[in-house]
Amino acid sequence: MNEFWPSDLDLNDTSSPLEILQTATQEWIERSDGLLTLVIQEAESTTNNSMLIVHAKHVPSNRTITLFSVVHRPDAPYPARIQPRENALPDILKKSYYRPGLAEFAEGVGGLRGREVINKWVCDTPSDFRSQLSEVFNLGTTKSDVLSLVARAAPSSGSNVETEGSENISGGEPDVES
Amino acid sequence: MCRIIFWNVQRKDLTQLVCDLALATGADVLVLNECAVPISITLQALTKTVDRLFFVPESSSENRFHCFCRHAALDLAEVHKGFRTSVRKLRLGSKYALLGLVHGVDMRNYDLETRQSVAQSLADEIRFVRSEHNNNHLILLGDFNMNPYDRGMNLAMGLNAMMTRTCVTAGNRTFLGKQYDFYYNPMWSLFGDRSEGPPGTVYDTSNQGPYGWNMLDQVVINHSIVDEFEDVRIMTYAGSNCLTDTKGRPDSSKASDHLPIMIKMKGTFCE
Repeated sequence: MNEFWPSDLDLNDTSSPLEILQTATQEWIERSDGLLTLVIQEAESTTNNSMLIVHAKHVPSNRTITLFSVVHRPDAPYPARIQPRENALPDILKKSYYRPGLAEFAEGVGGLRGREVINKWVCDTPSDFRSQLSEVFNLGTTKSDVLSLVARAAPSSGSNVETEGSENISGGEPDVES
Repeated sequence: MCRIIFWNVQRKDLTQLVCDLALATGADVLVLNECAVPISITLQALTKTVDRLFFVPESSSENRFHCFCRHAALDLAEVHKGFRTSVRKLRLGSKYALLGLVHGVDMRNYDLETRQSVAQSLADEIRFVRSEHNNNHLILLGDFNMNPYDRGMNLAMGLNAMMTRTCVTAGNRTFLGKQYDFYYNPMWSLFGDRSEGPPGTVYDTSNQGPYGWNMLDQVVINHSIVDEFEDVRIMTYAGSNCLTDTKGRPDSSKASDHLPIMIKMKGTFCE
């Protein structure tokens, strides 16, 4: 027997990305005992799409960090695209990274045919958005950014205290790749 | 007076020149962009040869900006980290300002439209920080990878940065029902060869630089704090070391392809 009902379509779940992000904000407040929250900034992209910029905020210090943004058409909450922040970490600080081989380079140069590009961050439904949202919060860069936001505000960081000479060094020694 | 230097050092080890520049100018704050030298090495050199009081204000943006400060009273602690920005608290006398360090996407890999879009994102981010801290005393400093005349720099929804002080006296302008704060961009005054100093901060005649000189390194100042702005200069010497070639262009064989800029803000904290 044929099935004509779209799979994964739940008429009881019509939450917009903003509503889902507000739920996420509540969870952040609860799970961090009020230490962290999310701030959702509503903006407009250069192509006149609606944009939600998601910042993490360390409540006691009022320090913030931009985590990612979400773009969707102004009159339709879906499809929505999550745009994670650029991964600016050098390879040496990433747990794993992809290094293309010569064969792929040659293929790239010689590849004249079109190919399908999959954009994993595009979400068509609320459940899809929840799943990808969970994934973007679990990215290594997101977690390290949030940890550094909290760590910098710890009492032992010694901000605003003028000390002398090498005691002020906060950069540490450079890593050496073996 | 607070002297702040910004320099894109092109991933070169220019530590000696940085120290010479800091010593010769009496810089209170140094910001290095695209700096491959570990921040601890530069700090050691500064504390050893310029002033032992130099320190690195706390931030988590050290992969993009190396910031050094001579006076703890200036603060400079990071209050917001964005995609390509780092916003610091900056105490100017009795006032608290916010110093936004900026590194725009580069001209070789991103077309003008993309850079314009990035400028709009930057403007959104700055509006967010302004609102979170309830402070519009914003100074944006950095390598914007745009010229003052590029749309991203002067569109209302972009950085809304105008040519003269009098252009920004109205405080803001309304576009499509929303109000946008004006910024003053003093870099306009330094263009060409009829003003003191070099005609720009970068010389590039490739297809991305049809004017020869570009003013990619800029400072723009919110209308609310324009009265605190004293001066901006493009530096051609680091102490006795010339940073330009015989034609007066940035000499990347011995320094960087960008010239440093120095801004002076009023303030009585270190007098």
